[in-house]
Amino acid sequence: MKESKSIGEAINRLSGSPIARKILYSFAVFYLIAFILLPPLLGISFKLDLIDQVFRDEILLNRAKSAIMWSFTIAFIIAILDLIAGIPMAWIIARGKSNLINILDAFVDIPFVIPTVALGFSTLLFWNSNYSPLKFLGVNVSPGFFLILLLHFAFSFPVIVRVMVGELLTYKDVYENAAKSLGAKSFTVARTVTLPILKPGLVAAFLLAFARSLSETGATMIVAGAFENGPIFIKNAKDAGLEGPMVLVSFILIIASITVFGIIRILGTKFRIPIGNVYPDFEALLSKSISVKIRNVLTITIFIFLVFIPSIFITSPVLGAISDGTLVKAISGEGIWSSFWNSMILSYTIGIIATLINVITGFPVAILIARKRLGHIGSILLEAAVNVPIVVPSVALGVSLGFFWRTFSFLSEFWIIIFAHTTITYTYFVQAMAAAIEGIPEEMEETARTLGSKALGVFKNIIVPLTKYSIFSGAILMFTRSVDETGATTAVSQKLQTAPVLLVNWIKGIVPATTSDIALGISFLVLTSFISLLVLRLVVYRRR
Amino acid sequence: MTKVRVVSLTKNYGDIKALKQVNLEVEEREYLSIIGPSGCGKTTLIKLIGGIVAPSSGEIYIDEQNVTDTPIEDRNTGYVFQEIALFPHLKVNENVGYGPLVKGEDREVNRRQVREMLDLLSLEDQASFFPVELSGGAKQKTAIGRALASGSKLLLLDEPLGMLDLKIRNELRYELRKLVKDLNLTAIHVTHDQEEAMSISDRVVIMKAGEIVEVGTPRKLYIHPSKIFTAKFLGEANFLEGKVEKIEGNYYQVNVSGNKLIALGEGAVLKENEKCVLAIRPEYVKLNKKKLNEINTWSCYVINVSFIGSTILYNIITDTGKKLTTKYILTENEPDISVGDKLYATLSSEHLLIYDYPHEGLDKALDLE
Repeated sequence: MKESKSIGEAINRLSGSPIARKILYSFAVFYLIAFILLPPLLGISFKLDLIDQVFRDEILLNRAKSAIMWSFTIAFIIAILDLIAGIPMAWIIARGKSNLINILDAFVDIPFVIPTVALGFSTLLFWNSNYSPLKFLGVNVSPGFFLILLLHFAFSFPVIVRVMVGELLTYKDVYENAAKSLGAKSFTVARTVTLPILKPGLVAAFLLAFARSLSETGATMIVAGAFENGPIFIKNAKDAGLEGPMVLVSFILIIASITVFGIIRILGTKFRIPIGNVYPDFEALLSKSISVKIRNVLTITIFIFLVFIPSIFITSPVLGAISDGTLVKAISGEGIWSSFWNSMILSYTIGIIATLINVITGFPVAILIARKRLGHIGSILLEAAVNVPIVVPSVALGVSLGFFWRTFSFLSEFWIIIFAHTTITYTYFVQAMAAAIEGIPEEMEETARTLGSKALGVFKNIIVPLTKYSIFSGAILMFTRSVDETGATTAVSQKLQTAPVLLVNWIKGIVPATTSDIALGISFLVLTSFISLLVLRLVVYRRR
Repeated sequence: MTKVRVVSLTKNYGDIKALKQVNLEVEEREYLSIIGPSGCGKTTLIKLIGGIVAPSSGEIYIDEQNVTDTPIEDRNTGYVFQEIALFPHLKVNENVGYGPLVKGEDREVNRRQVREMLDLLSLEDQASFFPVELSGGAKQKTAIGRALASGSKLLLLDEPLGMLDLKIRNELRYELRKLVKDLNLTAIHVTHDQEEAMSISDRVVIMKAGEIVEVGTPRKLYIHPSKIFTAKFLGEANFLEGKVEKIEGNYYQVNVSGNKLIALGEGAVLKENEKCVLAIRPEYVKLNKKKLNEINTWSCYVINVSFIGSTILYNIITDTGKKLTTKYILTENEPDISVGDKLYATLSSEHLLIYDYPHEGLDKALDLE
C-alpha cells in the first residue's frame, strides 16, 4: 500500500518535469502520425504500381471514373437536400415549445442508433414494401441510384439536424430581436441574419453530411444493386480479386476527398450568403403563422416518410422471427447463429480494445489542440491530421490500411482490424475531448498549479472531473462506431468476420439466411447500439 | 402630445412578478431615463414597450395606437441593445442600412440615408469596417445609427452605454442626448448609472421591485425626492429616525435621540408625536471647528476621511452616537480635518427632508433588493 502510494507520488513528481511532459506529448503525436495519419496515406502508395492494370482496360477505367464521379455527385446532392430539409427540422427542435419536441428530438437520432447495415436493409424493405409512399404513386424503387439517394438522405439527416440544433441553441437571440426591431419579418431575419451568422455551423453540417455520404459503404452495398459509386466499386473489385482498380479508386477517393474538404473549408469561410435584396411582401407572406405551420408540417412529413419509417421498418420482420422459431434458434446458437454470436463477441472485443487505445493515445493530442501547446499553426495542422480519417471514405481507408498493416507480417488479422478501427474512430474522441478541454478556463489549471499541483494532479483533479462526461460520451461514440463499422472492416478482413460484415454476407446471400434471420441479427446489433446510446443519454440526463 | 403610454402593465415569469401594474406616460420629444436597482423591472419595461417580450396584462400605446399585441417588427421603434448586437457578418454601412433594406426602401434612398446617418455619427471613415474591427464607442454609435436609420421617432435604449469604458460612456451620453434633441426624437433610456440618467434626461423614472417609485426631473428627484427610496437610491443620504415634536408652518421640529432638529417639510403631511425619518445629503452637512450659534448643530468626532478625487468624504459620529457622512468638494481651501478631530456638524434645515416612518420598517424601505 505504502509502496504504491510512493510510486504514485513519484509519477506525480515526474509529471512536473517539462522533459517528462515533452516525452508524453511526443509519444502521442508520434502515435497520431504513425498509426492514424500515415497508414491510410502510405498503404495505398505501396500498391500504386498496380493501377496500370486499369489503364489497360477501358471498360474498367470508365467504370472506375463513373463510380468516383457518382460518389461525389451523390454526396453533394445529399448534403444540399439534407441541409434544405434539416435546417427547418433543427429550427422546430431548437425553437419549438411543445412537449412533443422532446420526442421528435429523440426520433431524429434513430438513424444514428441503427447500424448502417441494418439501415440499408430497412430502407430496402420499406421502399419495396406495400407501405412505400412511392408504391401509392405507382413507382417501384428497385436497388440502384435512387434508392442510394433515399438511403443517404436518411442517414445524413441527423448529422445536419444535430449540428444545427447545437448552433441554434448557442446562438444569441439578441441578433434576431435587433433585426425584428428594425422591421424585418421572421423569414427575412432567418435569411439575412441568423443563417449568415451561423454560416460556420452550416459549412460544418454540410461537410459532415457530405463526408458521411461519401464514406458510407455498409448500407450502400445493400441498396446499390448493379449501381456503383466509389465504395461499391472498391468492394466489387475486392470481391473479384482486382487489386489494381481497388487501389486506383481508393487512391483517387482519398486524395479527392481531402482536396474537396480543404476547398470547401477555405471557400466556406470566404463565401458570403447574399442578402443584398429583400422582398418584403413575399417574405412577409412566408413569415405568416400559417406559412410557418405549413413548413413545419411539411418538414415533419418528410422526416417521417423519408427518414424515420425507412429506418425502423426493419422491426416488422422481427415480429415474425419471434413467432416462427428463429428467436429460439438464435438463442440456442443453431446453424448460422453460432457464427453470428462469435462475430458479436469479436465486434465487442475489437470495440473495447480500439476504444481503450484511442482514449489513452488521444487524450494528450486533445490537450495539445485545445491548449494550442504547439502554437496556433501547429494546433491547426494537428487538427487537420486528426480529421483525415473521417474525410476519407471508409472502404478506401480500409483498403489502404489493409495494404499498410499487412506489410508487417507478424501482425495477425485481429490486430489489423483493431488498427483499422482505431484509425476510423480516433477523430471522434479527440474532437470531443479537445472541445471539452477548450471549455475549461485555463485559469483553473493555473490556479491548481499555483497551489502546488503537478501536471498529473491538474489532469486528475481538474481536467478529468470536468470532462468526464465528454470522455464517457466520446468513448461510447467510438465504441458504437467500431461495433457498427462495415466498410473498412470489409476491406481489411480476410477470414475474421465482425457482426456487420457477417450480416452483409447474409443479406447478399453469400451465406444462406432467411429474412427472419437477417432481421433478428440486425435487431441484436441495433439493441446493443441502442443500449449504449441509452447509457449515454442517461449520463446526459444526470448531468443536467 | 403623448408618445408612449403604458397602462397597468404587468409581467410575470412564473411566480416572479417582474412588473406590477405599471402606468407611465412619455411625452413626444422627451428624453426619459429609467433607473433602479438590479432586478427592479426596468429592462422588462423597455422590452415590453419594444415588443421583445409580451405582457401578462395591461396595455401599451405608441402614438395613441394600442400596440400591445403588435409584433416587434411592426412597432416601428428604434431599439438599441445593451449587448450592442451589431450583425457581425455585415459592415458598418450594411448594419446601418439594414432597417431601410428590410422595409423595401429604394436602393438609392437607402444608400443616401446610410450616408447621412454615418455623417451625423462621424462614422464615414469606418463605413466598410466589420463590427469586430471597431472600437467600443464606434460599435455603439453604429448601433444607434442602425436604430435611427430605421426611421423611427421613438428610440428605446436598453443600457446602451453599459458595455463601454467610463470615458467613452461619458462622452457618448451627451452626443446621444444631442442627437435625440436635434432629430426631434423621443427616447426611453434604461440605465443603472444614476449620473448618466441625471445628466441627460428631461425626466427620470425610479423603479423598485417591479413598480415605479417616483417620476420627476433630475433636479427635483435629487433635491426634493418625495419618496424615501428615491433619497436613498439617487445619490447618497444620511437617514435619522425621530419623532415630530412641533409643527410651525412648513417647519417641523423633530426629536432625534434627545436632540432637536428643524426640518423644512414642504408637502409633508405628518402630525405631532408621529414617528418620522429625516434624510439629508452629505453635501448639506457642514463641519466647523468652532461652535456656531446655528440650529441643527451637533458636536461630533471625525472617524474616517476618504479622498475620492474631486470630493472628500468625512465620516463622523455625534455625541449621541449617530453616524453621518459629509462631503466636500476638493478645493485649495478645504477644511483641515483629520481623524479624531472634535468638530461641530450643522445640518441645513432647508435640505433636511422629512418622511413618514415607513410601515414596513426603515431598513426594508431602503432595501435595494
